[in-house]
Amino acid sequence: MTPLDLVEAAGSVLTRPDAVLSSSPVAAALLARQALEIRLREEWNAKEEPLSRTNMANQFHALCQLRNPSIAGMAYQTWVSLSGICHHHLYGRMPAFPEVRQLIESVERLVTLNWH
Amino acid sequence: MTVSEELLHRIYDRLMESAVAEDVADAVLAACDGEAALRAWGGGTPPVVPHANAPEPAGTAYSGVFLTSLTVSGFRGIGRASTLRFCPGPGLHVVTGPNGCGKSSFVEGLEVLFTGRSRRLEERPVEWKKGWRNLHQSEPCEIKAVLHREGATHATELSRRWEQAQERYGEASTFVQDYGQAKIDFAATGWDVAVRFYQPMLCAVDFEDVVGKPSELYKRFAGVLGLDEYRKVKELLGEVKKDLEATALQPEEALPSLLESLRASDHPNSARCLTALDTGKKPRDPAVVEEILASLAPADPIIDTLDALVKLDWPPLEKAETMAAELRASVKTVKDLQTSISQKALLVMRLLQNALELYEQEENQACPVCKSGQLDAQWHADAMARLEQLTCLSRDLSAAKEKLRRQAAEARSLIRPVPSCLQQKTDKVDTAQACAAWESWANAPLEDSPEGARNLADHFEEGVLNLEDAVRPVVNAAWDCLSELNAAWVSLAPQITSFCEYERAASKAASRCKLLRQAAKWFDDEIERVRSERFAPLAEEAQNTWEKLRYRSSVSLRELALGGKGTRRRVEVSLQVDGVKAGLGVLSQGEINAFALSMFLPRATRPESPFRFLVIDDPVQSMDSAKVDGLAQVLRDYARFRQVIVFTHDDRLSDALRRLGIRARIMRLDRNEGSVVTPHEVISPALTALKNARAIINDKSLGKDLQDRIIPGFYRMALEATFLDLAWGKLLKEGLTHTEIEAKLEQAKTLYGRAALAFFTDRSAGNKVRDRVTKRYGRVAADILDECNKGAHGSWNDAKNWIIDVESFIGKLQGERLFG
Repeated sequence: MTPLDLVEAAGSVLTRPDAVLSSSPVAAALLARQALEIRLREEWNAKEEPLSRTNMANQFHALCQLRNPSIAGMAYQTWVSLSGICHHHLYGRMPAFPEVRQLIESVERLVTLNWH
Repeated sequence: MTVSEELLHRIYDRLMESAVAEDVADAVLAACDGEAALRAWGGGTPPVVPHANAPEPAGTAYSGVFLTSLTVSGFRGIGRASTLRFCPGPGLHVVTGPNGCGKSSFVEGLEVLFTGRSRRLEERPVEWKKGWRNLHQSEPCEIKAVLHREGATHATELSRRWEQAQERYGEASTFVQDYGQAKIDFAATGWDVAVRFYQPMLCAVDFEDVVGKPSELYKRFAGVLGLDEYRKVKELLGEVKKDLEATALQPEEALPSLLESLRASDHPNSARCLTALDTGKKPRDPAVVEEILASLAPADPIIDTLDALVKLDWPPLEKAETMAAELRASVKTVKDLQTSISQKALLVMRLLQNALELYEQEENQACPVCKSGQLDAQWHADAMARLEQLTCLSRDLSAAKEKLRRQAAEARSLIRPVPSCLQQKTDKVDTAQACAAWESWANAPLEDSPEGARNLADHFEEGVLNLEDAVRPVVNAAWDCLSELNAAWVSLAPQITSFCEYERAASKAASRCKLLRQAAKWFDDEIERVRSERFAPLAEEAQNTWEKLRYRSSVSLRELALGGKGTRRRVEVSLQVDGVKAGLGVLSQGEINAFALSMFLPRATRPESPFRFLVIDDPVQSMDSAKVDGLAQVLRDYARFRQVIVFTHDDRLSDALRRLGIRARIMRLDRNEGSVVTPHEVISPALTALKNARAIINDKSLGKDLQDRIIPGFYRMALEATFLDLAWGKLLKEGLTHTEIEAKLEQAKTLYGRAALAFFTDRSAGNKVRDRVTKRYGRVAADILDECNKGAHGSWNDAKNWIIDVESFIGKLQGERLFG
């Protein structure tokens, strides 16, 4: 699936019927984060840069150095927020619906932008 | 009856024990009997031993209340109707959810339902107050609570509904309806009063209020001390005492004005009154005033003389003239008749009478006098006529004389001797001339003849004229003088009479007032004693609660005591920080919350409260984890006999409850677009994650690819939560504090780091995890760890098929937590 497919799927999952509402924000966040991660891998693969095997924090650090720092910063910020939702935390809370929707919108913008 | 039978007996026993004076005890008992009885006692009526007929307190039937559900729609952050359901009985309920999910809307809704107020809104600017309706769905706007009463076979519904036109939340009313019955006013249940005393909701604003205002804290405790009946008696004693004091002061207030009036008055009585009243002695002897009043009854001689002069009476001039004229006319009549009937006529009449007697003996005979005439029938007729004529004249004369005599006698009877008042000399009126004129008039002619009668007529007429000239001015002068004196007295007399009444009442009131003061003092002391006696267990419970909540806090609550007097009453809080005395200012925000809870719980859980539920809004915020554990234990203790409902924005309380094995029902609120607020039952985070994974598995619409991408994320979350639980338990056993444990758990961010912390209490031992899992739980479990970790960043083929294995692995891990 392309990053954009995953973003679209994340949006659909978020607005699913009430029956599975409580799982929807996390499910949507998981898909949105994967969209961003695939987009990042694609970015490295396009130039054959061997960075996709390092951990995500290092990849985003490299992105800041090698690509548009503003977009890279935004991408990293969005990824950190999504990761916060995708992991269990001590005293964790369920993400609020609007919060996840905003993050999906950010990912949608990021995956369609030229990162140079 | 001011008090209940129970309190009456208690007060009676206390009076007997105190060996208080009988009169004072009477006053207290009369106050217990009611206002009429106490006022009668104040007026001197002996007290009747009060008989208690206290009505059943309002709302007794509406006690033992638990919440079954709370539904809010169109209010604050909740649009479409959203219902929270509770188990109606003792137990703990936790409602969690992120900020803005509608938690406070439920709490505020409940507050508005029970109190008609939202203190949070009241403290905000006007713009806030306007925004109490939901933006997305303002209609229907309603709050509804279904309640269960202990022992009742049916539910009771409490509702408050706003019409579209209503702009303020205070405009609607709360109604109560038992199933199948008509709606009744909220006040009919007695809850409107009870909610003030035992307020079962602890809202956000309460936390600051309790600390910021010691008087506010007192108010909250005062209600539950059950001193309301005592307060009524105290107020009544004070009220009647005040009235009696005013009565006792009335003479002092009236005296200056009365003395001034007396000094300005010429009336002879005024001087006497002045001497008696202007003594400067306080209090005056009431007997003196009584005496004055009594002595004022006989009038002064001058007043008597003037009064007699004013009352002088003589015939009016017109009457005198008429009587004189009549006398004169009668004199003339007598004289005229006397002329008509001469002496000779009388002799002729006698002669005729004799001749007729002779004729009766022998008719038709010669006249024995002239011898020539004949006494025949003709003569007889002529003689009879002549005799008749002469007899009439004679009778008229006698009548005229008799009339004259009567008129003369009447005239003489009107002429009275000189009145004594004219003979007395006064400096007010000169009576000499009048006296002379009267003396002259009194000296009337006494002759009984027609001449005498004529003189009498002249004397009478002339005398009356003289009296008019000489006595009338005296009478007028006396009248003027008397009027002047009376005018002053007429205004003074009522003043003096009132003053004497005041004096009499004041004397009685002063003695009663003294007794009433003693009664009020005794009663005040009694209230203080009862207040302290009843406050002591509350203070002790608050201190115990604080001890559980403070957990390693350096602030200790040494003492809670009642201080101040009257309207300045307060709860004095004695704190110590490391043995040094400190004020409330030393409390951190978390400690403030804990302190507010310590003050709230003993009060809200009084056995007298009709409410068996407690609703606490976000007590966890700003509390550190140790205090949250303490809070969980405190809530558990109260939940054993109360329905405790806690709203909180984070999961620390839920976690603490789970860790400590405290049974609680946990709900989470989710807020979707359009203010749609939905509650969900919450289980442990690990089970929640597994439940979510199953929801994704069951959602066929997602398709396999998406399922494979989503499910590993939920598996991983379930494992992470389990590892954190496991790690917490192990680190706690190693003697770490909550803060230290939290720091370690926060640092372990990856799945393997958390697993390492759980197995080895060392997050850096991630490389040993796979071996440990393989050895203890098998290869499948180790693969699950790997796949979850990778899959969360991509996909895990047929992830759904691993659900049983994941659940099994997690179950085993939980077993390790419980059994080591």
